[in-house]
Amino acid sequence: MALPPNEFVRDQWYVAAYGREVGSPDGPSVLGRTVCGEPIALYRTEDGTVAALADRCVHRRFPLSASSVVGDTVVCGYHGFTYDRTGACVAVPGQTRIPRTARVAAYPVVEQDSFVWVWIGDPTRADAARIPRAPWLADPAWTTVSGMEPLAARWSLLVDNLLDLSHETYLHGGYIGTPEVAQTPITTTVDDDARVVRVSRHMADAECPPFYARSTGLSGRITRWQDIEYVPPCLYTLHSRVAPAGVLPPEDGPDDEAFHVEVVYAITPSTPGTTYDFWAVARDFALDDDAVSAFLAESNRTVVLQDVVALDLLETVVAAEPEGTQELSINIDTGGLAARRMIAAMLAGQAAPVADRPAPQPVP
Amino acid sequence: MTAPLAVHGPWTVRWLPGSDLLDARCPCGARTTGTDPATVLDWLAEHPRGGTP
Repeated sequence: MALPPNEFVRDQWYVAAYGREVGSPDGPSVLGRTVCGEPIALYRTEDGTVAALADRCVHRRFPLSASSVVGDTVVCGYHGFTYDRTGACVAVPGQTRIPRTARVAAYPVVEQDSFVWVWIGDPTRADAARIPRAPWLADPAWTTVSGMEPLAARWSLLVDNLLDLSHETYLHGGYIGTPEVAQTPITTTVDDDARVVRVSRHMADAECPPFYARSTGLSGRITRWQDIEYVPPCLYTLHSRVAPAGVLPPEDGPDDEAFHVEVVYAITPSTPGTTYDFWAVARDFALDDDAVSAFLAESNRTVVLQDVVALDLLETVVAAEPEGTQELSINIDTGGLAARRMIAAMLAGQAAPVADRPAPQPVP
Repeated sequence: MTAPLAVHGPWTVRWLPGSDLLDARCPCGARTTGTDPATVLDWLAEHPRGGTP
């Protein structure tokens, strides 16, 4: 059974944007994103830090994401109510008295590993040390291409998709899929204490798909390892290692004969039926080769768009199903099923239904 | 909804190469094998905390 579409795991950090999207000269001065059903306005203050406010002016509900940044404040584009980064209203038009209730919620926000993370839930429980890491994305020893595609599908469908890579063979043939992916047994490891699901698929002698052949220059058969780490609910990393067939990592020392790619996905629920699919591909080879970057960016975006088409279609099927419709699982689904159970435990452990929980409070 | 897992510490389900068998191991050392991942995960979920093989 898929997870219900209208349940979000709260008291969690989620990726709301890439840092480059907030305060970009090429984009809006205030960026609007909806995370777990909560519209959020993101902007940069004069010192460069990101602020996150509820995207709704208290006056006449105008979205702050359609407003302007002036200094460290956002000025509502409708009547000029002005908010600082804590959400406090500091100016209203035509009068000196600012109503005591003139305030919008502010969200805890951290910029890390190229992502802008926001905390959804009780702000007193926000602990930046709990943000899962993707250090490759901001490490000069790696070169990264990245993007985001919106899904018209519930977030749990993307979790299913990423935890079972056998779909590469059928959905992504010609890019990353080869017959060996679907044929190779997996090992699933679950650490409840660390809250991580790992799925490993090590292909000893596999066809080299175009994604790796063109980017690495490898030809012929390869050794291809896929080691997934999923930190529910938001961050997924595929540690990918490719090398000529038979070349294994040395007992000690650097793994110089192999090519390493870190494929990172941030899975951010937006609304009950929509999801932000943030993707990034970091590599430790051809670091300054712009042609390789362009190829990997275009190839991975194509792969993600293939997933978007499939998952959007799947959402229409799942949404129309009678309650209790069953599905069938086989060995390749072990990791996805384990992830579902871990997410179910997180949902079951939530303190109270969303409607009973306190609204986000301003950050001091 | 499937039952949340309640076992503690890392546990492993290994799909044995050349077969359709799943080999599940609890941190306590207990093992089971099966061909249905949901059944194997149910066994892990129901395996008593701090149990022994």
